[in-house]
Formats: sequence, C-alpha cells, structure tokens
Amino acid sequence: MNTERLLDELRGLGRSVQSPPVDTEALTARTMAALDSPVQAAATPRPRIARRRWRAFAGAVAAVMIVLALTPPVRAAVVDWFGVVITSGPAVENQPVPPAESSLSMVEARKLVNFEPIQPWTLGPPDGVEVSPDGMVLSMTWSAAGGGVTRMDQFIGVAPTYLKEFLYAAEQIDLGSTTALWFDGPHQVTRIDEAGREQVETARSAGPTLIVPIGDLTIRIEGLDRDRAVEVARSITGTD
Amino acid sequence: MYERQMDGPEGPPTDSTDVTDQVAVDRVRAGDRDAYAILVRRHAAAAHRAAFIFGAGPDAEDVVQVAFVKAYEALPRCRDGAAFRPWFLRIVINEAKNAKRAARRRWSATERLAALDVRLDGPDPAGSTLSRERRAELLAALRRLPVPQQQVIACRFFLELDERETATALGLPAGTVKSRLYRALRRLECELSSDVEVAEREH
Repeated sequence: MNTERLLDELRGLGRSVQSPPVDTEALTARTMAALDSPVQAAATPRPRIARRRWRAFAGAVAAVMIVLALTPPVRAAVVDWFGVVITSGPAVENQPVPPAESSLSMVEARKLVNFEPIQPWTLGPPDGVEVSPDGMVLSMTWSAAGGGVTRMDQFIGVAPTYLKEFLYAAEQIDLGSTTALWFDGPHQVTRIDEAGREQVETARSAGPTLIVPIGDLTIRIEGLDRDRAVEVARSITGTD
Repeated sequence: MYERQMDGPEGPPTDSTDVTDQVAVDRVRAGDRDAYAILVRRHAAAAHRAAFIFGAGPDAEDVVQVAFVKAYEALPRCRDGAAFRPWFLRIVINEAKNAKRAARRRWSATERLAALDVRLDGPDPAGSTLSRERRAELLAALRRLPVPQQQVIACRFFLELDERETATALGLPAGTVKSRLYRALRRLECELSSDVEVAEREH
C-alpha cells in the first residue's frame, strides 16, 4: 500500500473521530474563577495517586528481588507480577523451547483471544501460531536454521496466567515506557487456568526469559539472549 | 491620542479575537489576568479534544481546567517567543495521562489511547471519504502499534499538529518524533497490506 494513500486515510480517520462537545464559555468562566484559587485547583490528587501506585509497584518488584534472593527453594513466597506469579523453586535442566503445535494465521488467532495481540516485526512472520484452549494465551514461535526456537507468549496481565519458579534474583530492565524482568537461567514454568489452578500437565522447564508488561498485555520472550530479547522488547514498546 | 488610549485603564477589549497568542501571553505576563481569558476561550476546544484522545474520558473538562490553571502559573517560566498552543497541549496531555492512570483499576506500565477505543457505530460523518469498514481496519491496525507510536500518530493526524508541534506536545526531541512516525507508517503499510493478502488467501 502506498504511503500517500495511507497518509490521506489517516487524515480522514482523524477528522472522522469525534470528541464530545464542550461548552467553551462555561469552561472559560470556570477556569477564570479557578485562577482566583489556584492553590486548590492545582492540588488535584491525581498525580499523587499515580506516584503512590508507582511506588507500590516498585516496592512489589523490590520485594520479588529480595524474596527470590533470600528464601530457600520452597514454594513459599508468591508475588503476582503482571500475570506472572513468581515463587522460588529449584534449579532445573535446560530444555529446548517448544515450537507452537498449530499454525493458525494471525487473523484466525486474533479471533480466538479477547485482546489485541502484538506482532513483533523485528522477528519477521512467525512459523507457528497457537492459542491456548482457554483462549488466554497467544503464542508465536520462530525456528532458527540452527534448530533453536524463539517463543513469544502474550496474555492479559491481570489474572495469574503463569507460575514461575526461580531460584535467583530476576533482573529489572528499564525500557523507558515500561520495566521488564529478565530471568537468566532455566526455571520451571506452569500455566495457571482461569480459576487460578495450576495446570500441572503444562509444567515445563523454560530457558532464559524476558517478561515485558505493555499496557494491559504481558509478553514472555523465550529463546533469545538478553541483548536480543531487550532489542525485540524495545521494538515492541516503540522505544527503539 | 490613540496611543494614550491604548495604554489607558480601559485598554483594548480582552475578548478581542484579533489579538495574537503572543500578545495575549505578553499581557498576562505583564500582570493582565483577564487577558488569559482570550487564550482559554481560543484553545479550550482543541485542549478538550487532546484530553479526550489521550484518555481523560469523562474527566476531560476537569483535565483541561486544571491544565489551564497550571499553564497560567507556569506562564512566567514559558520560554520567550515559544508558541502557546503546543506548549499548553503538553500540559494537557500530561494531565490527561495522570487522570487516566489514576482512574485505572490497576497500575499499568503504559496506556492505550482513548481515541483508539472510539466506536464506529454512529453514522458516517458527513464528507467522510472512508467507509466504516476501512476506518475500523485502520483503527485496529493503530491499536496494534506500540503506544509511543500511537501517541505520535494521534498528535499528527487526530490533533493535526505538525512534527515540530508534536515534539513539543509530547516532550520529545524532533528526531524521535520523525523516527517514530516513520516506523509507525512503515508498520501500518506492512500490516494493512498483509491483512489484505491473508484475507484473500483465506477466501
């Protein structure tokens, strides 16, 4: 499709998106009145709430770090981090990343999940696309010529969706618009179903993984080294 | 005598539409509080649209009012000669993002744009050259873009700012706006054409 036509269409789309009407005179009167009591008007609680939430979030991440570093390898501490529940667990053998079992088209896969999936353009079109039977997780895989598989799972990061058991501290990586967690060694990973039950039959050993929260979605990227995974994450979050 | 009149206590009318933003800004900075009403009246509608598009939802009016008060207080620190509108829109956009974050049930790393949740079930706007199906396709493709790219697209095509104004409104270097816009357009081209191919293959 050519760029000129796309630009025209975007302009047309922009003009067709209506915003609600606003009473300019009333707003002007209210604003001018508010200038007389600027302290009150400026003391809106909104930014503070945002900051408080950020602190709570940063605190939760710090708690994960400490817990992972200190607790013995038993399933004691549980932290839900954007749909990924992290507990400490034993070290496991490294196993190959499983490729997707079916190959849906993206158009088909999109219809089976209740979110708008993200496609990482830097990796090119995937070889395999699958959706979990409960429609909660969309997975794409890419097979390298050398036999390695790159896997990207995405899901709404609100309900617990994965259980990770990891012995060591995960590393926080600042991506500008979001913070990712990097797990640098093999660890046990298990799907959690909608009712919050562990699906033990799905338990497998996962390799190094990057977890990236993007808006409502959480993305797991597995099968790439740290730098490449971060590069793909940056291309997805648009901070590249 | 004319000059004396201009400088007199009555002064020119403050709701004058032929006063430029720069003149109004200078007057406010010189202590003429009422001259601020010119700026508020002139930019309220655009600010309200920006607040709506950046996710303020039903709070858009409150967001705009708070933004105007903050801008009034910040005006003495506004760089001399800087255009008022993009400078002010940056305050509106930040305020809208704050409002949206606070309204969210759960803290989230980034936010999606409200504009991209617009419903297309109303009548097609008069003079629209795009079918509803095509607009739905475009919106779906926009929703799949990374949020930073959506924001650049929103400023350029929904708020009709130029690249320089977009950079000011989003608080980004001009080069970043250019590259994000380029990447966004490339992805949209790619995605919109591959969707057509896939759809054709499936039928």
